[in-house]
Amino acid sequence: MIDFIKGTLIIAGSLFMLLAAIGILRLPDLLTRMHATTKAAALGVMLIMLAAAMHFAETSIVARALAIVVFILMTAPVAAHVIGRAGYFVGSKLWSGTVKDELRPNYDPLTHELKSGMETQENAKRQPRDTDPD
Amino acid sequence: MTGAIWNLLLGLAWVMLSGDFSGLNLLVGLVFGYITLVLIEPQLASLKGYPARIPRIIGFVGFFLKELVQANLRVAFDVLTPPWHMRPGVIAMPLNAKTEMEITMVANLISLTPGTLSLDVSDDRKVLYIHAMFLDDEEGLRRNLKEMEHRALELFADESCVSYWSGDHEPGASARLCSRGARAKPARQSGGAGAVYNHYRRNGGVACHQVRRAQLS
Repeated sequence: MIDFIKGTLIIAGSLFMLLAAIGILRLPDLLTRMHATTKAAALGVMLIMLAAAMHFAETSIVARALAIVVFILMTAPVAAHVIGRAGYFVGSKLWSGTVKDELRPNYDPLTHELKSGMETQENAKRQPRDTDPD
Repeated sequence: MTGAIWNLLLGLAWVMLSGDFSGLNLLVGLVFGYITLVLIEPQLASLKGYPARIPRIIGFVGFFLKELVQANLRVAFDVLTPPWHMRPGVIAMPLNAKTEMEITMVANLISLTPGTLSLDVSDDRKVLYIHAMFLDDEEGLRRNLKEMEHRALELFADESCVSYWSGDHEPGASARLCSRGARAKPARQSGGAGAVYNHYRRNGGVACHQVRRAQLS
């Protein structure tokens, strides 16, 4: 029974990693590729580490497997964020099927200023005060 | 924080006294230490809110794992089948997280769930730009992201007030409310904050905005 669970975990983990590789090849632009690689690979490593911890069932190995999972979970999103952000601002083209882009109008490529777009909304809602200059 | 240190000390004391230096025994010690802390919590002000935190963290981890697997399967389906079902796009999400630490944590969690990738935070720290892979149900996605942010912020809740966002109210409107530990203190003095919170829950946020406006003016 335990062998069955371990085997399932390892196969599922390697399938997710394979999926990340296929994703890199098939997906159309940088940002969607980042989606496929970082997260599927992180989940794959998590499952395989879980299987390793179950197989050896010793304190030192379980602790190391847990540490690997924690560090993957801490570093993978940061890497994805930094690569995706750099790619976007350097100007890599988005896929033609992209439905909307709320960032582009708020970004000034000359000053590198990124507005929130909330300024105008808040100004519109603001009630006039007596102290306002005419 | 004090609670966590005491819990660890109690766990280590258990390991010392029982003389069995294994990871499993440390775990047992931590569980017994936690039970002790739950029992003496009402008598010690410095432990306030610690016992409630552990189930919240466990609940959060469970919620997060569920999201992770679910979204991964969806991306997997789209990668493997020939036609593209995805509708990617960049959306702006108003942030309730205020401090750098909270924003970092929320952005990381959003990056970790497949289907969403945090791109950048605006210069005034009010909006997080997110690249999402499936925008066919944008409202649902925004609700999901908000729920994740709310749950993540709850983990810090006993130190500072949580900003609570109501989904059915005007978008972007947020009310800073004290939950749990922080709420208990003013409630004892004036009987106000807790009642406001419940009132707020019932009326979908309208009452609280009025109260907040009254406090401001």
